[in-house]
Amino acid sequence: MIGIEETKRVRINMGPQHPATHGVGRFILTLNGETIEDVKPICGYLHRGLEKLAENMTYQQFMPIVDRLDYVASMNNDLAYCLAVEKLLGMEVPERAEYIRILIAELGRIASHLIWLGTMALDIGAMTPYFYTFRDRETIYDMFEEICGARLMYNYVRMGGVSNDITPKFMEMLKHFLDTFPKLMKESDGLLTKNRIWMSRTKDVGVINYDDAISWGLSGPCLRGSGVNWDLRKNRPYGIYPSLDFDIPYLPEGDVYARYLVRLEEINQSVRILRQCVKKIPAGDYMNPESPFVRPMKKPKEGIALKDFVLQIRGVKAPAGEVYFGAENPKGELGFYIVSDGAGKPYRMKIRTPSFVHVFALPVIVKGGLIADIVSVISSLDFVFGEVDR
Amino acid sequence: MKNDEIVGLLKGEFGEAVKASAELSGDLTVKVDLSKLHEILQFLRSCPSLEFDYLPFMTAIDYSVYPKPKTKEAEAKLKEVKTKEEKIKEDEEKLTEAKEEEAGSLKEEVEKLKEEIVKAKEEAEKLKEEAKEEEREKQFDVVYQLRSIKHSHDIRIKAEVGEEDIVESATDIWGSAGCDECEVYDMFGIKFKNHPDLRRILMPEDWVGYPYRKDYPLKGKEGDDEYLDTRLPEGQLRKPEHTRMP
Repeated sequence: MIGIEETKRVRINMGPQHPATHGVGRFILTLNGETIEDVKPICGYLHRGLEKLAENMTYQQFMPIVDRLDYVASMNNDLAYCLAVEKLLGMEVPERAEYIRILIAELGRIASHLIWLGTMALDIGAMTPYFYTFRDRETIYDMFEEICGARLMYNYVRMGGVSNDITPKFMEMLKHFLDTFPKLMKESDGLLTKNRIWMSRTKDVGVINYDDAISWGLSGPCLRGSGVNWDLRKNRPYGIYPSLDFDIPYLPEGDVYARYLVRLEEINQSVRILRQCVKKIPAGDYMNPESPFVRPMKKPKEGIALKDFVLQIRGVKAPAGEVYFGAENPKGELGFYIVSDGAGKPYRMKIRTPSFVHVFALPVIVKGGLIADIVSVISSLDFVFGEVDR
Repeated sequence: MKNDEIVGLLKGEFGEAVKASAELSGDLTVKVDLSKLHEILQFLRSCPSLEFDYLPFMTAIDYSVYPKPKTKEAEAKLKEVKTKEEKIKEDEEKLTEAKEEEAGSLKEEVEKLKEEIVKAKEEAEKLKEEAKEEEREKQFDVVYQLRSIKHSHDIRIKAEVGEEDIVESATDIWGSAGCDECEVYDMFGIKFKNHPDLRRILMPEDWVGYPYRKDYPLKGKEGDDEYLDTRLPEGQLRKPEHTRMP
């Protein structure tokens, strides 16, 4: 006989085909009654060996593959990778390109957060916000289509600038978006933030405290949801972020609700950044004309054609050395650690992705909680398995 | 805290275990001895003026095919010396047979060559000494990138690791070291002790070989697919030959 106090441990398999794991993630839960005693994350279903691929490709060839890391924020991935390579080569970027980069990075951040908001609400049981957020995300993807022709995998940011200039139509669309989006955002905000069911599903659920959040390497909104005032845009500034006026939201509670509020506020701050950029954006080059990655536009002479050919095959030679650059992506810190031996290909590249760390911090967060809460914790950590497995 | 202050503090505490330090495009990199690696990491975490509480990532690098330009140069210089010595021998043989008129010019040539050889040998020795920096005893480097959120400074710690070495896990210092160390074990075959759950996390558990090593080809090793067949009765699963390069 099994008494009430000595229940049997039950193991439950969650995933890899599970709608709430946001990809092909698998978790083995050990339950004591309804309480979670242990979680074992298992990943690798999407492993493509990107770091090995990078060693066999020139810096430019690896660009489109970076899009496939976190496939809901490809623009931000492009930007992070380009900034890392530019740091290694010591390249400069024209001011207009810097502004365009911030524009699309912040739009990408909003799009990523919108997907997160819709899917999280869907996971918890609210269906309506999903339609609202995907409607707004659609306008952002239309804008991206206008500037680079692609809707999901852009390959738009390049080493030394961006691939082509933004169009007047894009600016019109952006201004319209900035006028209408904050009002539209209030719809989903009004549906969720003060909702009693939403609050009881998220408040005091999946708590991780200040010290644990740092020790377990959380980054981005998850770290700030635990009261850590840390944002790479402020603390390790890159691009033109230092000249822009924006706040870093952080809340000390460390629960799902805090992470939710932090992301909502981040959307507002992104809108604020976008408004400043629209006002300030200068005229000029969108690409550094001296960038070694730029191919000559005119029909070249023989000697230049050979040089161009060699650049295509062997790649642009980077100085020997190593560099680490981490950028603030929607999901957290996306970092590229590049070791160069002086050739046109990286000798070794380590991609530090926020989702990978978050997946393995999940056991700490959900231990002792209820099984019904694991879905909301997973969606609040907001990981994407393209990034976990690389 | 400034970079040189951090290095000074480390050197004061650990002396010779801190081998070298360099600033590479603004990033402070410190090379340390493997036997003291864990102690140094613990010190970096607990010292109140450093307090590296955040571990962005840890990884490993396989240096087995890293180019060594200076070693190559030294070898080329030595080759030059050898060809010159051979030429001297030829000339001396000619000297014994030659007439008096030619002998003068040949002698001059030999003396010139001898002087050149002395110079070349000196240069080669210099290059050899410089090339010693490039020489490595062990195949891998483990890299710990650390950051202090409290004091807002960064450091990168590197230690040389061989194939047989066992690294002491840093999971007791930073929780996030766990998954990265699993990945390093999975991809490079570097083992860690005191790790709570060391397993292959990206590759299948029965995978043979370590994919991120430099001797592992891009399209897999021959025989890697055989594990697919052992699980099923014969003939049930064809070998995925299309994934291999001929």
